[in-house]
Amino acid sequence: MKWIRVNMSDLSVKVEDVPKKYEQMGGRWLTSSIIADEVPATCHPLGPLNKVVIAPGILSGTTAPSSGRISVGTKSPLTGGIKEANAGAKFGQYLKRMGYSAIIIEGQPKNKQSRYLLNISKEKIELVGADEYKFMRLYELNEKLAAKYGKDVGIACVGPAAEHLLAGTGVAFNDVENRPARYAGRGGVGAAFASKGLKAIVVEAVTGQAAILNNELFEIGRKKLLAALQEHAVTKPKGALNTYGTAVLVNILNEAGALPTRNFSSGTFEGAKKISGEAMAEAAAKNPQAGMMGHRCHPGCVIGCSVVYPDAQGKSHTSVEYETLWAIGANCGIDDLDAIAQMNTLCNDIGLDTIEFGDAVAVAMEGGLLPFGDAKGAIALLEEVRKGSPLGKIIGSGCGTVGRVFGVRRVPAVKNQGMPAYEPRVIKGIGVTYITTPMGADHTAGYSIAPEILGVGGKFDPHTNEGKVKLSKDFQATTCFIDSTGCCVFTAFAILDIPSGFEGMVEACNAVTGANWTTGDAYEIGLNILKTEHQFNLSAGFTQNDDRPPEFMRLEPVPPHNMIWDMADSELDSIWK
Amino acid sequence: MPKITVALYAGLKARAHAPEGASEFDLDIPEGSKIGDIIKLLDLPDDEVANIFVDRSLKDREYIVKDGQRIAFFPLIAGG
Repeated sequence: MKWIRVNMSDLSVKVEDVPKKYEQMGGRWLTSSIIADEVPATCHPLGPLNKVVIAPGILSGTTAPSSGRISVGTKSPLTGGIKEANAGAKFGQYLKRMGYSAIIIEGQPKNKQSRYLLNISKEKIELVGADEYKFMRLYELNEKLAAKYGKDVGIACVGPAAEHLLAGTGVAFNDVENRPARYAGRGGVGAAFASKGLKAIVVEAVTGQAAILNNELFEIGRKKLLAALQEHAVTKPKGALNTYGTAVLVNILNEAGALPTRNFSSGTFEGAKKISGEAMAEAAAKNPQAGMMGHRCHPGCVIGCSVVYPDAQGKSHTSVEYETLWAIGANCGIDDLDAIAQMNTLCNDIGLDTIEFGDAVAVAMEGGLLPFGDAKGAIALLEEVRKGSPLGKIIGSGCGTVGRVFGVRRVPAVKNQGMPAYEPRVIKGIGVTYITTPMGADHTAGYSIAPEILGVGGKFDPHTNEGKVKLSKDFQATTCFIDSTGCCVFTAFAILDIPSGFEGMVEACNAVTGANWTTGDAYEIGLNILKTEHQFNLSAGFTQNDDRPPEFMRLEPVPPHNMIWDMADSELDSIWK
Repeated sequence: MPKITVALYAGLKARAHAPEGASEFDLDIPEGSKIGDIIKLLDLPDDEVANIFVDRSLKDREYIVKDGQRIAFFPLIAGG
C-alpha cells in the first residue's frame, strides 16, 4: 500500500510506502494515528503545523456491503481536539482501488489568496492552480469539475463558508449523481482543509476491487455481513431505513420526550409529524420524478437510507437527514419541511455542517437575533455566511461562538461542538457519549440510542444512569473499529442483534489486511483508537473538566419529563479508567 | 369506558384496524385493558410492534392503560 503526501508549503506531491506500523489501518484508525503521531497537539488548527488526513476504510473499494465510508481527520478548528468525520462516497472507493490508503495534506501556501486542486489519476498526481474556483458554490463547482475531469470522478471539496475558515464547516464528497451532498460534516474539518489552500481533490473513477490477500476468507466474511444486513428489520431491503430514511426517528424521539426543541428548552415538538420520515416518504411517493426514498450514498451500499426530497415546486433536495430535520427544524421551532430542505441544500452548497448551523441559529434565536420559527430569517443567515459578513462569520463559527456573542447561557455544546438530536438529560447513555467522546458532542461516536430507545442491541432504560458509562464506552470502542473498516455505522444495527454479521465484518478485514483478528480483538483495537484520541486531547491541554455537560443541563429540568443531568462527574471520569 | 389517544407510526397505520387514513385517533377501551389487549383490538401485527410509548415513556405489553393516556406504537426502526 502507498499513501500520498501533499506539502502545500512547497507544493510538492510524494507517493510513499505506508510504514509497517500503519499497514493494517484504515479510516478513523489511520487518520487518528497519523494526526496523533505527526501533528503537534498544541498547534493552531488553521496553521501550517496542522494536517488533514483523508483515509478510506479497510474494506472500502471492495465488494463488502455498505463499506464505502471515507474518513477525514485533523486537529479540529471547532473543538481544538482531535477530529474524525466520515462520509459515504465513491471517492474513497476509487482511492483504495488505486492502491492508496490515505492522502496526507500538510503545510500551507505562502499566498493565502491562492487556491489549488489536487488531481489524482492512475497516470499522475498533480497540484494545479484553482483560483477560478475561489469561493465558488459547490453545486456549480461539482458541475464544472465533472465537465473537465469526467462525469464519474470522485470529488472532495470545500465551499465558501470553509474558505472563510469558519469552524462550522465540513468537507463535501460528491454522490453517485455528482451532487456535493455527502458530508464529513462535523468539527470544522472543512476549514482545516481550506486553510491548506485546497479547494478540491479529484480522483479518477476506478472500477474493480481493491486488493485482497485472501479471497476465500473475504467471500465468507462478506456473505455473513451481507446476510445480517439483509435480514435485520432496520437494514433489510424495504426495511425502516430504506423506506423512511434516517428521519424515521423524528416521531419516536418526539414520543420519547427527547427531541430537543427550541434550543433544548423542551423535549417535544408540536410540528414533529410535519418534518418526519413518514412525511418525506409521502411527498416522494407523490412526486417520484423529483423525489426518492432508498437513495444510496455510495455504490455498494445495501441499506439505502438516503432521501431525495421533492419540495412543493418539484425541486429535488439531497439528502435530507434526521439530524438536519431536527437541527434546522425542531431545534429552531421550524416545521416547514420545504424550508428545511432548502436550507439543507444551501448548507451543502456553501459548505456548512447542518447540525452546527442549526444549533447556532437556535442559540441566535434564543439571543433575540430572530424569533423561533423564522424560516425566512434563517435562510437569510445562510447568505450572510456565504458572503462572509461579520454576522455570517459568527453564525458559521458554531453555537458556542454565537452564545458568547449574544450572551446566551443555554448553549448545548461539549468541547464547543453543538449537540445532535437527542436530549441527554432524558437519554443518559447518549449524554455520556456526548460528554466523553474525544470528538466533542457527537451521537455517532457511541450510539447508545439503539438499546436505550429503539430496542436494537438490547434494552436499557433511557432515564437511569446505571450502567450507562460502560454502555457508552462499549459503543464508543466498537464504533472506533467500525469507523476504521469503512463500513457505515448503521451496519451496527444489524450486527448488534446478529453476531455472525460482526464476525463477517472482522473476517473480511482479516482477508484484506492479513490480520487474524477476533471480534474481541476488534473491540480492543477500537478501545486503543479511543485512547490515542483521548491522549491527543490531553496533550492539547484538555482536562477532565472538558468532559462535562453544559451547566444549564444540571440546573434546568427539561419538559415533559422534567429531568436534569444528574450523573456524578466521578462517574463520567471513570470511563478512562 | 376509558378514552385514550392512539398514534401509529412508520407503516403501522396501514396494518391496523383503525379509522381510514388516520395515524392518530381517539379510542374507547374496556376498563383494565393492557397494551397487549389494545394491540389485539386494533388488529396490529403483534410481531411487528417493537416499541410502545405511553405518555412519552417506554412500556411493555403488560402495562394497564388509563383514561386520557396517549399510546404510540412503532415497528423496529433506527436511524441516526
